[in-house]
Amino acid sequence: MSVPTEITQKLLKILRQSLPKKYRDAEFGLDQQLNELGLDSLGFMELLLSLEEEFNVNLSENISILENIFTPNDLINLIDSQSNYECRV
Amino acid sequence: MNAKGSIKGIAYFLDKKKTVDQLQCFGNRVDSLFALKNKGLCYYSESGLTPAEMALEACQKSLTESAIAPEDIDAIVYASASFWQKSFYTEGDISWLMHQLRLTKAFPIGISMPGCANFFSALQVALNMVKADAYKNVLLVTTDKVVPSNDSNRVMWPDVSVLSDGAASCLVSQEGCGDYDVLKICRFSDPSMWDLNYETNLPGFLLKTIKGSMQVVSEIFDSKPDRCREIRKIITNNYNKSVMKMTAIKLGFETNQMFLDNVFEFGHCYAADTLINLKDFSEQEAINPNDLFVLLGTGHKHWGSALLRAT
Repeated sequence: MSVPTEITQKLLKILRQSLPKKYRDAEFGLDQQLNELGLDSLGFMELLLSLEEEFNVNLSENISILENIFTPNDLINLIDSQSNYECRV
Repeated sequence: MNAKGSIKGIAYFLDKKKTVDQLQCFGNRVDSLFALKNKGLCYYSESGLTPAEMALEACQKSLTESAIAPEDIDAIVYASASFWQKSFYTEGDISWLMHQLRLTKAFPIGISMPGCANFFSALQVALNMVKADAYKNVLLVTTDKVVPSNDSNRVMWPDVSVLSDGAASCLVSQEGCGDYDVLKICRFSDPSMWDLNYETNLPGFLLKTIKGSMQVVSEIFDSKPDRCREIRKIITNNYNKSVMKMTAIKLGFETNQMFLDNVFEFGHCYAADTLINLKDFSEQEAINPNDLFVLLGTGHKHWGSALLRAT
């Protein structure tokens, strides 16, 4: 099953807001490494908190998963696996 | 949990001030050194004393400042995560400390498990003794140091903080007898973090740390976040300015409510940070009666918070 477009769009919007200013308007693919977008550990933590709020998920329940999040795609799959997002396009 | 009691005679001991540039472990990790400096860290304290010897230095100042005679101390609550390092202690250390302080009527209690949140368990125990056992004066001290064999032990990698050796102490007495009344204490533990390694999963570690902090501060405010505005200052452990500002925001405070000055001065001194920071803030700025302070401590997997009101 493909990930709903709405999840991807919302996640990318939140991700851009979490990036350092100079990267916010940069073009990047879903397989781009997050650290190459200037996202440090603190920025990543902020991003996770924002995603929890937006998608009503608890990302700290299985914290070891976070060790394997490197790209926007990884984040999208993480949210998709944990959310009960109804609005699938 | 309502706490009735007060604290006074806050004092501390920090030793030789060194710059983070002096740490040789940054030799091949200059990116970490650069990141730490960018986050406000500059100095740390290094001591050749044992934790008990540092405790003595702090406690002597507390007794002097509070004008309490040693024989009027009913108990000493000694908090240290350094008990895990057997080379730091001998069986006689606590008796040695009490003898040096001339605590002829006191009995020792040890606190160790909550790590850098030790102060809050120590404070809870001391307050309980004051409330339940009608003790008049309990001496509380928290003391820790880095294992000196390798200066890499002094860094919370990759760029979280730099550790200092030091001790902080205070007297815990009945409500209204001190500089601050302790209105409430909350504590929280997340045992699922038992194997969480901040070097390999820093985002996960930070996420859990912020959530634990949110939990204990929410409890302190009875889940009423508007009460942040009533607080003069939130006093936390020193990690780095970026993390601490983020913590302030996530807890509902303004960043200027966070006391950050000592990040530059000595980095993170284990559980002693909060007392040292409160002491230094009170010497920098006038404290008014009824000013409220939130103390927040994080000990990797354990959190504590206390609501204080200046008398």
